Amino acid sequence: MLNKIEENLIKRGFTPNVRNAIKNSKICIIDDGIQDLKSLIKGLKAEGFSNLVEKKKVNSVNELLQEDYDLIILDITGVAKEISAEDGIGVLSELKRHNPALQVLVVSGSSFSPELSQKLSQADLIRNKPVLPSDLSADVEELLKFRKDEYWAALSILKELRHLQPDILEKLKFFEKIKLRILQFRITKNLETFDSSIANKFIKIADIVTKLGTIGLRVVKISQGFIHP
Amino acid sequence: MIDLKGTKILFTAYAHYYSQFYNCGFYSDDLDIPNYLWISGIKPESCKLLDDNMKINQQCHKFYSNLDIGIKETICPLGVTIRYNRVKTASGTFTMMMQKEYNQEITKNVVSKLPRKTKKALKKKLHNGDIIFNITNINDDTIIDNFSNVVETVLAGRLSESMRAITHEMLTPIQGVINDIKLLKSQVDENKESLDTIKILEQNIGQISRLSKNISILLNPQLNITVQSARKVYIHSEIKNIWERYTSATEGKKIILDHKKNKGGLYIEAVPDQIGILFNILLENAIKYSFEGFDNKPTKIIVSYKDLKNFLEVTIETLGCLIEVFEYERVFELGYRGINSNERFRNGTGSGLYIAKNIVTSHGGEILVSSQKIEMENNAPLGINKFSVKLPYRFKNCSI
Repeated sequence: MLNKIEENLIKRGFTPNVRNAIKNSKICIIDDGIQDLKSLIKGLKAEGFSNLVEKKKVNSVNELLQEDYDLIILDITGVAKEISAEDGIGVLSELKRHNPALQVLVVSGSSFSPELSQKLSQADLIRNKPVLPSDLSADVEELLKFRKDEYWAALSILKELRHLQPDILEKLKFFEKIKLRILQFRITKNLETFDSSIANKFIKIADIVTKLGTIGLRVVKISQGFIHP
Repeated sequence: MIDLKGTKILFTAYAHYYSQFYNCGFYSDDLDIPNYLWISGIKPESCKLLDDNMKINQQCHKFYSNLDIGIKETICPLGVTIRYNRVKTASGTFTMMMQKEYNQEITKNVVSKLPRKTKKALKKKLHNGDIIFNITNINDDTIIDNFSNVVETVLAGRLSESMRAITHEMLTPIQGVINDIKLLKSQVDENKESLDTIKILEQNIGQISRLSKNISILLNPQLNITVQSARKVYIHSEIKNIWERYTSATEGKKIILDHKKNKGGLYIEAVPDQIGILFNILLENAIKYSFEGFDNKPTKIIVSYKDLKNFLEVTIETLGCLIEVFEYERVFELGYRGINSNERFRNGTGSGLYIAKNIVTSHGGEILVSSQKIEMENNAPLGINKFSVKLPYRFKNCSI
């Protein structure tokens, strides 16, 4: 069912508003050799990305979190030796611990040890160097669509709920479970008809899932991007 | 982390420990290790007795420095049958040997030719402890095997850690150059000369990038691929792009690509750059080991696809040097060069297929080779060689 919805979303593509929102996203690029990547940055700008922040190293994880980036493109070596024994991997772990919904794209070498691979799997996407602006641009779109397109966000939340099912059954009250089921059903229907009221429904889902604690944080964080003051 | 010198000292201590229990010895003609070992006496008692005899010592050095690579058995200048393993390490050649049994006749003959003084000393020692004939009975090669593996791993491992870091660091400037060239390409006008120069630059940096990645993969005994690295990879387009890189080589050898697009439109989920490296190795080998064609009859490299339900099978077929049946597994070993490959005339490191297998197995696939003997040309056995790569359509639990 979800696969079919995904296929429909791919066929539909992005609306101009979503595309603009993706291109205007606040993206931080961290690489110890950032001075060598001027052409890559230029290439990304040529692809339409207008809000790029370049950093040679990470001074503090809190600083990154406070900046409220939509996406962080992170190299894993030589970027955070002063603040973490695990360098970029340590930064990745901390970012994901504090904000699981923050999208992190790791750009690094081609092979890792088993321990490193396990830790790296916290990243949302990994791209091996060398990478071209066009490939990086495709990756950025792939990641940010969940934050900028309400339908992709809804699909992502439905997938996440599937993973959370055992906790939902165990920890939520009967009434909350029924409410959640109804909302899931409605979201699925909205995804079939591209109903724009979909965001309200997954925001309600996030309210319920908050009760699960940190394991539901991903759903909460995804929905937060669609709460309009 | 300890440095290479520290590693050697550690290794010497390890060798000292071993020599208490076995009649073993260590030799290397191009490392500084033998100085440590030889002088500090890590060798069988029978060899120690002849330390002062220059003539025998020279014979022994010559004997050990001429041993073949690999695990073998031979008789040493003293008449003792030795089982040895001679390996190539990152810093040179190294031999570990164990005495297995002695040949009384040869030993007697050697001893009888010794100068009177040495013979007398030797006989005295022999009389006291009969040391020379106290040979360890070894039936198991694993001791030799394990010890050599330790040497290889420790010495190469120390280097590999630094090399891995350097290779990793190299990738950032490589990425910078690749992007600079791309930008430059969009800025130059239609000047053919400039575009040709940029094309050459592009090819060269691409080759440097691939070689760096090959080193990086080589230094990892096992590639650990995460689903986050997987993307859709269109194999047909990948092979087409790789082939274009080798235009000058293929035109020179009159080789053409017969690219059957029966299932090539399909994509698989894989790590794109690794799949690029895999097919680059296979196509480069196919070109390198194919025989030159003729203007009216060019040599064909046939690439075909087969849908195997959950797997896509890509077969690369060439007419080249015959691969014998017993080599079907060995060609994927590191450093192995085919016996019919005429390696003197073809540059190579013997690492390509090892890397290829590493990539394929990391993706949950399989790589196989078969070779059908067809005819003889200039005494070189020819064969139709088929490399079949089976790669899963879906990468583990990944859904893109």
